[in-house]
Amino acid sequence: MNSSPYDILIVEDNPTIRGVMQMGFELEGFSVRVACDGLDALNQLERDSLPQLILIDLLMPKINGFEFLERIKKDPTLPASKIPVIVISAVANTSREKIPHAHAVFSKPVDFELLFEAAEKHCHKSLN
Amino acid sequence: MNDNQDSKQIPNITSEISKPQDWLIGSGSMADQIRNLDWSQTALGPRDHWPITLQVTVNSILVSPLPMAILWGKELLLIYNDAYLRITRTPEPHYLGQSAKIPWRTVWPTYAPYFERVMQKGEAVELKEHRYSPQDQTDTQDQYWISVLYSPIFAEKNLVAGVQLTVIDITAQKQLEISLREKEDRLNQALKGATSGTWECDLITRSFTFSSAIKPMFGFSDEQKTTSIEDWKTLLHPSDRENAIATTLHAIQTQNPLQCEYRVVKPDGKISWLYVLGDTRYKNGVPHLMTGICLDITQRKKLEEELRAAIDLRDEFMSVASHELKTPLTALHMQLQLLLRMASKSGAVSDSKIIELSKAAVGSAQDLANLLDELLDVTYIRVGKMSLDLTKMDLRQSLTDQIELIQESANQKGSSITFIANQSIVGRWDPIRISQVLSNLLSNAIKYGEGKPIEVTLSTDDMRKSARIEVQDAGIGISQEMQSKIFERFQRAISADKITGLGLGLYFVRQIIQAHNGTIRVESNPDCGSRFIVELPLESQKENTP
Repeated sequence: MNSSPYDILIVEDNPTIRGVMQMGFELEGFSVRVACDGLDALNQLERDSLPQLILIDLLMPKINGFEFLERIKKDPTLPASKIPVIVISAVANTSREKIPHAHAVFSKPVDFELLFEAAEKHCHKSLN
Repeated sequence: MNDNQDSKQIPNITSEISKPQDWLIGSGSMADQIRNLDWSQTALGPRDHWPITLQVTVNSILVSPLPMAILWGKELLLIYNDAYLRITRTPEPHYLGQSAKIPWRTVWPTYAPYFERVMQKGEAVELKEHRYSPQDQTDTQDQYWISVLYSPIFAEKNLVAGVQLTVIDITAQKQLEISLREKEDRLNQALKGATSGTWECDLITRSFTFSSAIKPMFGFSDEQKTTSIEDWKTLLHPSDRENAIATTLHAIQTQNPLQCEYRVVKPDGKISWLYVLGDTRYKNGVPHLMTGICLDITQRKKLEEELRAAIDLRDEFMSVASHELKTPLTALHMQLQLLLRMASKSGAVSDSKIIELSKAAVGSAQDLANLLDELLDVTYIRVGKMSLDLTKMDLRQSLTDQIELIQESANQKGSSITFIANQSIVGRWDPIRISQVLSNLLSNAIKYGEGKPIEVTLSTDDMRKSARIEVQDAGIGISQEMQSKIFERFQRAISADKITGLGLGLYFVRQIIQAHNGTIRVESNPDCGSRFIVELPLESQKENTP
């Protein structure tokens, strides 16, 4: 792991799942921020420094995952549009084709091993 | 087989005829019996002395495949062939040459008039479609149907010397006829019901006639006997009109039976669903008449719609339930994976982290268990109808029990439960359903009560006609907008962020209370808690809700 940890944002409405994801990534040495829906995440992106990676659920109140992606990707000149996004979907067999803006798509329940691997790879790319 | 026998007989017959002393021809057992009987002991006398007419007639019945017999002379002396023996089951041929009065004594009154008339008038007489039981046979299965032709045998000077009987077995035709009639009776019986009738449409005059059962289907008056094709078209439901007309025309053109379903709008605006069957008749290829039956299937359609609604509800429910189940399952799966990772990094992870995660995993498993309980409750609910098992029960006792059961989870949340009931209230309710209602209201109060005190009160109205249960919490409350929705299916007052569940609890509660002829309502303001008020009549008027 890098000496300065990767900075990620987890967007998930279910507190239990949000908690376990946060704990898992922190255990792997990531620096983790969380948001409870798409609106919360957008507000944080405006306010705070940008993370190297966003992990986001699809079905959420207020602003869902699809809408969040649309918003941050619609203007390619915005710094936030450059952040890679991994979608974690509860909908079975969600394919990447259906979510063109996603850099990777995982179905719940996710395999932590593979998720950590993918997260690390995208954070690395994002930094360079 | 028969051909072979015939070809073998030919030389015999020739040889018999060549013997001048024996006029008798034919083989078969009756021919042998006649040949071998000592006729000199009978009233007919020796065979060679019989009149030529009798000899010829005997030969003719012996070669006949039809059951035939001869009644000879005034004494009506009997001679018959093999087929006759079979059909009448005359026990044995020892009646040969005897008066028919002896073997036929029991049935004499039935048959005597026929051959007496032949003897007297010299006319052939037919006994038509007679139900015949062989002698000593009372079993109706052994009965059959015959027609008998009695024709005179003329001797010299046109005197009637005897009667020739020809029996025609019509049992098969008769049985077919009877079964057809039974079928027709059954059909008529079926059509007598108010929900089906027959119709006829003259395609030349373009007019309908119909049986009385059809009148209410179209909303015709009792006096109305006919209608025109044009009027029929206007009665059709606008959505079905085009298709009904096209289907009918297609059946006529393709010479196929008509089979179609459509709605009609009656003059009073009510709608009937009809199932119509018809058949077209043609004269020289031109369709001129349609006949058929018409069934009122409105009731069936209604049931079909209810069934479809039930299936939609089930699908909706399955979709909600599987999504709800997946959330705690996902959490549990990820928690266990993480625990495994922690275990493999022994020493690197603090015990407190492991304990924290383990507790969270237990919590997820509990969430799953709660959801499954809710799913099991669903099996108690049937769409549209809930049957109750009413029995005398004490509501105060039931509430005490439910509060005790839920006490621990209230303690965990930090809520105290106060129960105020001045007296026991006994009524006739369904104990299992009522405990479901109480448990749902109490667990909601804990779930949404933010750890604040909960108050439960039980009372009756002044007339002691109904019980009143109030469950009051001091929690998050329910907005005005949501208050009208919370009793509907799959509704929750707040987002899934804080609360899990299928959103069926209050829907069930209301279903159960309504089945008891009771009411439930809520008084609430956001952040000021909610008060659920249930009124239950002590005696439910009916045991089922429609």
